[in-house]
Amino acid sequence: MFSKLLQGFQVKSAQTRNQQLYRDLLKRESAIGAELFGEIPEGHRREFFCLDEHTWIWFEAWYEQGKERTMTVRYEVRQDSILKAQDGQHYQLVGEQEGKNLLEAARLYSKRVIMDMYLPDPITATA
Amino acid sequence: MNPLPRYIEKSLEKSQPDEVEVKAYSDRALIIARAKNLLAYANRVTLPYEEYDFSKYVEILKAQKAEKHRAQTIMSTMPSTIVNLHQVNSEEAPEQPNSLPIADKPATTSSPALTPEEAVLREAGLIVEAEALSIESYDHFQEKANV
Repeated sequence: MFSKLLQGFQVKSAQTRNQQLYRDLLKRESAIGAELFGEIPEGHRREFFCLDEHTWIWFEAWYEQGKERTMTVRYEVRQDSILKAQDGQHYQLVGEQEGKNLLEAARLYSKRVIMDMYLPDPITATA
Repeated sequence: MNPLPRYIEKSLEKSQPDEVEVKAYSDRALIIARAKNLLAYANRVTLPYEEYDFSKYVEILKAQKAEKHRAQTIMSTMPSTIVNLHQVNSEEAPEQPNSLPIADKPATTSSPALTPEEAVLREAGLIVEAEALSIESYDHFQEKANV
């Protein structure tokens, strides 16, 4: 009985840690992603990250007349098309140019994030 | 000692990542590579080879899995005495000099096509089974997106 409880607790603890770690990684990736689109205007906050295999998120927040404005664009990638939903509105098809821009951003994101975060450090790799 | 992923060096200041961390890093790297490739496919753009493109790792994993499955199937059909003998041999036999020509080597045990970066990743254990993830989405953005 006790060992079962302990086992259950350990499994839950591992899951929680996994989730926290994953969120932390996403936040760090997002900070890198935000830099891909050039300089962020003063007072703006930007985030861009890959949520999962099919989803990319672009978030922007800024102040306008003392009020915070936000914009969230969610890109859903399918085998044959790319859809986007802005601020929870209905999905619409992404045009050719926007699709290419998104791909370019994804390529840069992939390269930067993997190099900066996940590839072994060449110094320790050769040590 | 395995080389340290940069993330660990910079942020966690640990000497070695534990299993959970290594799995999280490799999962994310694979997800990003797949997401990028899916996007390219949706755009119908042929991806040129990029230095840190992880897409071929999926193929490596598939090959490894197929090889493992094949070995298990063969083992399961062997009489138990032969299986035991095989296990003893594989555990105790010293490494044999490889006399096979390269073309005759099994595809999954040697990786002549691996780049140095891939070799480092394999050694670091960053290439692992791409299992289905049971991870909560990024709450903040889910709430924002709300779709």
